Amino acid sequence: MLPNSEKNESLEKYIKTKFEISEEMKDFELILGNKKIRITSKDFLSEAERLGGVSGVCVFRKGKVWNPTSNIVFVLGHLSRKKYELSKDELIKLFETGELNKEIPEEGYVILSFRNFPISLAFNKNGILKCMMPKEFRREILEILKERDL
Amino acid sequence: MFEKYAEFIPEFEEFCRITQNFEITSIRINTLKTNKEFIEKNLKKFSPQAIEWYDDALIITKNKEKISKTIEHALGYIYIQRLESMIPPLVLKPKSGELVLDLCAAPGSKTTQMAQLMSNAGRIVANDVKEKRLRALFGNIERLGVINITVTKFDGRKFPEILKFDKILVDVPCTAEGKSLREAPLYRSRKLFPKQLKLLEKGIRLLKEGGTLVYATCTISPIENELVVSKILEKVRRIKLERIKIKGLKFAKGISEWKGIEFGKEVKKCARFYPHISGTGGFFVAKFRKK
Repeated sequence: MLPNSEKNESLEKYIKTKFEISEEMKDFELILGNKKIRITSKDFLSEAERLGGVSGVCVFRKGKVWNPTSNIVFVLGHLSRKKYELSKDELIKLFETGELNKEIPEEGYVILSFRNFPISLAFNKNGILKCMMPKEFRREILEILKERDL
Repeated sequence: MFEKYAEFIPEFEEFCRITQNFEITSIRINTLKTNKEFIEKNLKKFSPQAIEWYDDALIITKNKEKISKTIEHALGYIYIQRLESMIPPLVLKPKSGELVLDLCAAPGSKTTQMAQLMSNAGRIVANDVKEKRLRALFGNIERLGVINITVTKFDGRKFPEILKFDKILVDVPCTAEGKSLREAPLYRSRKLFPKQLKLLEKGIRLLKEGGTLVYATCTISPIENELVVSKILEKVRRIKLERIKIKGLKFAKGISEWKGIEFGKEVKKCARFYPHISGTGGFFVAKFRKK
């Protein structure tokens, strides 16, 4: 988790180091909106502001602190070099119950993968992974896992 | 079906025969996240087939109904998109440094394809007027990992003229005859015509000098296609139509006359896509350049 005082630059650094985002993703900008931080392409901002539109994708949401949203998985997951692989049974358990007992060497937010696909954001504390993906998405993946012969 | 179009659809009998059971399921590979080899290998049980005119598209030949129930789809590695719907971005050819407008963007098939063609850099403004459709657009943008899009909510006809764009896509609401391959009553085409004309007119006003605009519909009716194009050519002098070329994709020319209505010879530069000629659903594309 990040302290409130840390904003764009440190969040950018946080994203890159925490999830080991590859160099392909160097050209992005984080913009602060109403309790949200969104990720956009670098040469984007002035035009967007003039039209009053919503730019990019929300990657952090403010609670007591800035917390990564599940979009981190969709936008940056494929570029992340630091992912923790789950088995099919582990993934099913995580998505069904919202939690999983698993020893991971890193505390805090982690990206989990399944067959190398970045598939979930989770919060790791004391050997328990808490799933951070929306329930609708979990249901969708569970259906796929049960139906498809993997 | 489609008898009223018999005079201009080439090989009309063949068209009728093919449309009886024309159903293609196709996907676009999201190259922002993955590549063709990976997807072809992963989706082997769907027997994907490449097409000649677009490297990032695959036709699904087996287990079609299950393609939406794959991890690749749920995570935005692929996007289920009709082949004809992939044509307008290929005609517009947006590049990474450009400012691009998609005036009627939701649910975002073409918008996210343009983002892919721009390698997630540059700028796209994706506009739509309907809240519900915008939600689908946001969902697709997030799922596909696209970050160079700003979403706006204006009636396209009243889009603010604050910025001028390098490239604009005007994919207007239409009777969608080409998509469902069911003929729509003529009055519906006539009803949509003024709206389509106004959207195109607005698009042209928002275009930079030397900029390119693509007008597209998924319908066969000339009222929504050549008539709109010919009216705009009459109305706006500083634009010209350009010929359309996509390597490996066959199509028919625009028509210059129908039921006593003259559209002019210039509209022959437009492209009409039919199932029996192009292997896609029915579609219409016109490409303009602002002088």
